[in-house]
Amino acid sequence: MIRLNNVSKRYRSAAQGEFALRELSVSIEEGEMVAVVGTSGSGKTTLLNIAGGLDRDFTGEVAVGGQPLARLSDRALSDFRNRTIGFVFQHFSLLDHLSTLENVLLPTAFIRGGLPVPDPRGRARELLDRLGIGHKADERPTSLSGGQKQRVAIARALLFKPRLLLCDEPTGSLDTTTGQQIIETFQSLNAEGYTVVIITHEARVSTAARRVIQLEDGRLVDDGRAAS
Amino acid sequence: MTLTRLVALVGQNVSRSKKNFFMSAIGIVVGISTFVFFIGLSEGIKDVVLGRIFLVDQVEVVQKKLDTGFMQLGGGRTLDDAAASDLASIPGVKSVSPKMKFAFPTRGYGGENLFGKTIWAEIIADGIQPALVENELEKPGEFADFDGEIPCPTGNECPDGRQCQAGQCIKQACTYDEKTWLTDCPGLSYCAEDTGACEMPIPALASNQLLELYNGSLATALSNSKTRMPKLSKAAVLGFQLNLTLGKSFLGRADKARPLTRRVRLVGFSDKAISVGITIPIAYVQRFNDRFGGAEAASTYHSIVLRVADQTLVPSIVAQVRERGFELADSTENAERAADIIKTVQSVFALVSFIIVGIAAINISQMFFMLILQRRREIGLLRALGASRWDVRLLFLGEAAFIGLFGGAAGIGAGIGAARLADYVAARLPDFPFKPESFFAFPTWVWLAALAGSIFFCLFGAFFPANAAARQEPAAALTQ
Repeated sequence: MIRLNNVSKRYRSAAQGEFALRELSVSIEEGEMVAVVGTSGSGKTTLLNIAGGLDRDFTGEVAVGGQPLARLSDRALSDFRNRTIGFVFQHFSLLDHLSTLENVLLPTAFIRGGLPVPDPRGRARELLDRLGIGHKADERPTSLSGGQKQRVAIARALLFKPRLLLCDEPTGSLDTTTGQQIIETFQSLNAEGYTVVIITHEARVSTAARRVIQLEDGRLVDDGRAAS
Repeated sequence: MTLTRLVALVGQNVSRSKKNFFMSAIGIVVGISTFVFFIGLSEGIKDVVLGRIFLVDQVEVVQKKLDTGFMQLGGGRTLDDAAASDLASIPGVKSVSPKMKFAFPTRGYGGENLFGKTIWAEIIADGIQPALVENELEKPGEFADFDGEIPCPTGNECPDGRQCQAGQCIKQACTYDEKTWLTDCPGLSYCAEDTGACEMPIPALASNQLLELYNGSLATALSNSKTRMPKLSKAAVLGFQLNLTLGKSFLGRADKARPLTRRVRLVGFSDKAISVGITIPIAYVQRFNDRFGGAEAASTYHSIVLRVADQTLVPSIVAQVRERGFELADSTENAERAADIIKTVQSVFALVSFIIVGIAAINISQMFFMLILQRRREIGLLRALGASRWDVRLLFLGEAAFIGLFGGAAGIGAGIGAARLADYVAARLPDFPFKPESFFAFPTWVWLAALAGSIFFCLFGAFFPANAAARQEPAAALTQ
C-alpha cells in the first residue's frame, strides 16, 4: 500500500537544519494496521505527511497504492488525497462554523469527476450513526466532547471509503477511556479491510497495532511485526 | 470545485466573519457610492448640456466666413439645395435639415390673455422642415404649411378657412370688422386684411430653453410693482397666438415690399427650435424671404443640420464638412468644447472614486492576509481533504468577489440615495434656466461599471493573499 524508498527530508529553516527523515525505506501492505512510534522529533509526523502527499519536499521515492506521488501534479495529488486517503488528526481539525454533518461532508466540496460513493449525505449519516453520534449530526462541533469530535473526524476520513487511513496522534487529546474506544474503532475498521497507519507515542496504541515501526532521529530503528 | 460548492463554502465563510467582511466592505461602499454619485451627476449634467443646450447628435453647418479681425464677412460656399445634397452624401450622415432665418425685420405683439398686458418684441425666427419634428409633437399635423397649395382629393380635408374646390383647398373670402375684431372665418382661421381671405395662423415651435429662460429669468426681470409676470407651463402656452408684423420692426423695415400682418400660433416645443425666437415651417420662410429679400434670400439657407447616425462618427463628419468648404456653427463648436470639458470632469471624478476604491482594496488585501494567517491550519485541512491550490485560491477570491458584489451593490444604493437627496434639496432651490427635474442620470453602464469595478478591485486586493494561501504547503499549514 505504501512504499518509501530511501526517503530523506531536511527542514530548510536554520533552526531545524537537521534531517527529519534519513534514507528511510519502509513498506506497508494493504490491510495492515501499523503504529509508528518514536520520541518527539523522530520524524513520525513527517513520515505521515510524506506518505499522505501533504509534503512533497523530500528526496527518494514514495508510492501509495502503486502510485508514485512525486509524479502527480498538484491537482492530481489533491484528487488522490480526496479519494484514496483519510486523515485523522490529534486536534480533530473540525470547522466550528459547520455542523457535524457538514464537517463530515466537507470532502465532497473538492471532488472532481464522479462521486466515489453514490449518496455522500446518506453515507455521512450512516457513518455518524455507526460511530454513535448520529444524534449530533446537526450540532456544531463546539457542543461535542473530545471523543465525539474525534469520531466526527473519523467519519469524515471514511466518507469516500478510502484505501488508507493516516492518523496523527488520534488519541493524544483524549482521556484513557475515550482513547481506548477510538483505538477499538480503528481495530474494527482495520478488520473491515482498511489500511490504518497511526502515528503515536502511546504504548496502548502501539500494542493494539499488528505492526510497530519505531523511528529515531529520522531513521528506522525497529520494525516489529506482531504474530498473527 | 463546482460553482455551487464554491458559493456554499464562500457563504459559510462570509457568515462566520461578518464583522471582518463588513468592515472591509465599507471602503468599497464609500468608493463606489462616490463613483455612482459623481458619474451620475456628470451624466445628468451632460444630458442637460449636450442634450438640451448643445446637441451632440447633430452637426450644424454654416457658410464659411472671412474674419477680418474686426468683422466677419461672408464669402464661403453658399448653403443651398446643392450644398445640402453634397452634405447628405457624407458617410454617417443620417439626414440633412436646412434651416432658413427671416431675412427681414419682424416684430410681434399680443399676449394680453397670457400676460395681462400687450407685449411687444423684436422677433427672431427661422424655418425648418416639418418632418424634422413630426415625432416630437403630440399633433404633428399642426406644424405644417397651411399657406401653400393644399390638395383635397376626397373633398373633406381642408384646414379651417378653406373650402375644397376642384381638388384644391381654396381660401375663403372674408370681411374683417376693425371695431369688433370679429371675422367670419371659421375655427382657428382669421381674416387677413391684406388678402381679404381666411388665413390659418402660422404654426410655430419654441425651444424648451425659451420657456425655461422666461420662467427662470425674464418673468422676474419683466415684473414690476404694478405687474407681476406669471410663471408659465408648457400646457398654458400651447395654442398661444401672437400677431407678427413681417417686414417691419423696431430696428428697421424691408424696402422691397409692404409689411404684412400675420398671426402665429404656438403648437409645440422642440429642442430643434431656435433657442430664442420661434421656428416655423420652412416653406413660410422661403415665401416671406422671397417677398422681402428676393430669390437669393429664398434659396439660401443660413445653416444645414446634419443628423449623425452615431456620435462616434462626429469627428470624421466634421472633418469632411470642413474639407467641403463649410464651417461649423458656434453651437456645434460649443458642443464639442462642452463635451470635452464634461469628459475631463467625468474622468477626474472616476479617478477620485477609483483611488478611494483602490485604497479600500489595499485594506481588503491586509484583511485577507490576516484571515489567511488565522485560517492557516484550516487551509491545511482543506488541502488534506482534497482541495487543490486552485481550490484554495478560488475560495479566497470568491470571498473577495462577495465583498465586491455586496460592497458594489450597497455603494450603488448609497450613491443613488445621495443623488435622490441632492435632487430633493435642489428641487427646493429657486428655479433657474435649464434647471432639470433631476441633476443625475444613471445609464446602465454606470451600474455595470460600478459593480464590475467593485468586484475587480476586491479581487485585485485579494489576489496576492489568495496566491499566498494557495502556495502554502499543507503539511506546514497543518503544523500551525
